[in-house]
Amino acid sequence: MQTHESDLCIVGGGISAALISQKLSELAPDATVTVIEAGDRFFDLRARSRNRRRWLDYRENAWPGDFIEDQEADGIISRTMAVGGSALHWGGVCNRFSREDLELHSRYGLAVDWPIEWAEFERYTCEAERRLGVQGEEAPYPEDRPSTPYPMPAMPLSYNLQQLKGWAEKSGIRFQGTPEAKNTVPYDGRSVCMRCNTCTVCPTGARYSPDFTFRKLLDEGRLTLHDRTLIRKLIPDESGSRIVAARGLHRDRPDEEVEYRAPIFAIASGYVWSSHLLLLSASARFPDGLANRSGLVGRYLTGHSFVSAIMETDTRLYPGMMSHSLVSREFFRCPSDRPFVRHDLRVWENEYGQGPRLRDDSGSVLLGDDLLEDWRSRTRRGIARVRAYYDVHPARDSALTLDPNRRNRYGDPLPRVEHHLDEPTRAREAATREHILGVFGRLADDRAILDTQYSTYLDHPCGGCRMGTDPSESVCDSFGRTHDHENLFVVGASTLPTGGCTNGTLTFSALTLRSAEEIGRDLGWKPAETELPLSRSEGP
Amino acid sequence: MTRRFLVRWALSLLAVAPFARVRLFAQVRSLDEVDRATLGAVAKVALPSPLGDEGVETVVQGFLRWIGGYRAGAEMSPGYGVPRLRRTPDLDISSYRPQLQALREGTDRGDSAAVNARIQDSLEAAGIEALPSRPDGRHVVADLLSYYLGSSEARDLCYQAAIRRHTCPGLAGMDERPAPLGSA
Repeated sequence: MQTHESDLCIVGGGISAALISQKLSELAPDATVTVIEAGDRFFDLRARSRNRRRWLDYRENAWPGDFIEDQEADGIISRTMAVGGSALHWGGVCNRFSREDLELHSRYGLAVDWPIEWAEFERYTCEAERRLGVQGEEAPYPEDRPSTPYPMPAMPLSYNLQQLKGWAEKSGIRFQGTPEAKNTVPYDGRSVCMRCNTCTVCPTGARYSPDFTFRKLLDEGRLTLHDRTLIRKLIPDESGSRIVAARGLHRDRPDEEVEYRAPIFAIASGYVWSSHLLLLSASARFPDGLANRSGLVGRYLTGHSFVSAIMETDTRLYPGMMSHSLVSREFFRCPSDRPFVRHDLRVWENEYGQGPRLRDDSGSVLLGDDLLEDWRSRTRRGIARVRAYYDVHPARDSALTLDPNRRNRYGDPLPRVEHHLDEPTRAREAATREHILGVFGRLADDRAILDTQYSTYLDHPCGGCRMGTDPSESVCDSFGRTHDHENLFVVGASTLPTGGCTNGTLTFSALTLRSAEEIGRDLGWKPAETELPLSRSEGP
Repeated sequence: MTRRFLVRWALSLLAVAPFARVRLFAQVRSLDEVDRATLGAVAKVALPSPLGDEGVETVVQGFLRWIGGYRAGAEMSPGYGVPRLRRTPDLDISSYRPQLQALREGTDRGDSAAVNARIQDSLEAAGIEALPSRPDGRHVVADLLSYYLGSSEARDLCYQAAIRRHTCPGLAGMDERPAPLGSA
């Protein structure tokens, strides 16, 4: 068996692994860090342009090979398994959670409070914005203003978004450009946004993705990266209180087991695969898996539901200028003496019902100039897509379990993911939707709402190893350190007790950066001795 | 490696095997000069006139290149929240040749009204109700239109403005109404 040793072994190679590795390279520069990722690495920036072209022309995968074909779950998950993870092709949206997200129980008697104070959490959010390179404009609501300004100027609102903002604010609701990890100036060695309008595969690197962080750390010799290596089991010591090894295989040499030994392990495998690995690590001593004395590993999977609508506006738009949007945070806060409802509100340009068509309303074939004129006639009024992500809370049986009937090529049972909402969430569902439709009505004014859709799944899924102070009610503490194993951390999306009402990546990143400091302390970092880089203008 | 996995692996290999691409290549090659001339003449009627002869020819050549570059069985973009692998479907353009041959009459006389009528009849006969989102091999004219109308150039022509979607024009000027076509 091949054995590798380091001071920190990180299982999973997504955004959390990238940020921990980067921060520890500053806090504990002598520490050795190994990142193990089951998927491949995609570091060739030139290939992005070629793949982007194939994606635009043929709808081929913009990240070919970014998955493992039989490493799938039954349920909603991201398929991506690669160095960089889902953040290879995220949209870069960096909306913040709000104070209410951390205080749901104490304010409203709902779900649980997070075991972190808002003021402390907010500082890590600012740090995440600096490390990811987030642009944003000053929020119209004072409660939403960050304690440290964004590290770069805001993205100018496109002509379309200016029109949409004027239209939407007639409702009395205030909007701003959505904060995003897209460079408006050269930043951290990456280019300024060129408005290629294909953020899922940004050909310039202006939209942050973790492969840049990994590449830089590798170039500087601060990281060991083992890709194509699937960890299948964590091994505890005889006392059971510590993890001594992670075992798996290289996908090119599946018959040869490989072992990683380290004094600290961090599971950074996202909301599905983190819980999956802990459950997969069951043994005679730990029949329910590791870190699972509470029986909560894989449970309280969460995210947010949504309602979206398509509506006419009062202005002409030119769709295709820029994939950017507006957001309102007016409904992040809910007075505690009113029925609980919290949601964000986003607005995009859209082309619903405005595409070219072969037949007119009477069924006659349209060709040449008739087709063009018909197309033009239907684009004279702008269309907006609006969407509200709303706050829902998970039930205990919102869970990931091991499916004995579905196994990968190595014989490991694959995850089955089922989302269930708690009783208070289900009880207020109708009222929540009615409220959101009322907000949409304010936006539409007297114009037509052309289509309305309701979510059938939870977006931005997270949870499964929720954090808390009570070991019987949570898997890990606020730093992600598991209650059962002192040197085992779970970081990022898995640790969230509740999923908020807006995109989660910035929050996952902030929590990860806080975990990195705790891991740094275990590795000998003393806060007073290290000056963390604080300049917001120079990048990480 | 289990037998079940071996079978799945073999089937996935078959799915991406180059047979379909070789056949597609042969089908494109089988379109002779007359067929291509017919396609050009048909395109002049099917596509908007502001393109002009040169623009139409550019679209036709681009369309044929698109067909030639198609890869059946390639991984598709997964879409949001879709955990299952999907692959591009087979593309069989064997119908193009007989369709073009049926459309040929009238094209040599430059009788655009006759060509228009023939195209309409041909689309009816093939049961084409709507444009495919991507060329799918069912009808050569529907596929040509689908190819062109999905382009950045077609959008600009529709809106009569230089939106330049997907052309990476930079941030400068994005806060202004796109310039009218031809003014830049």
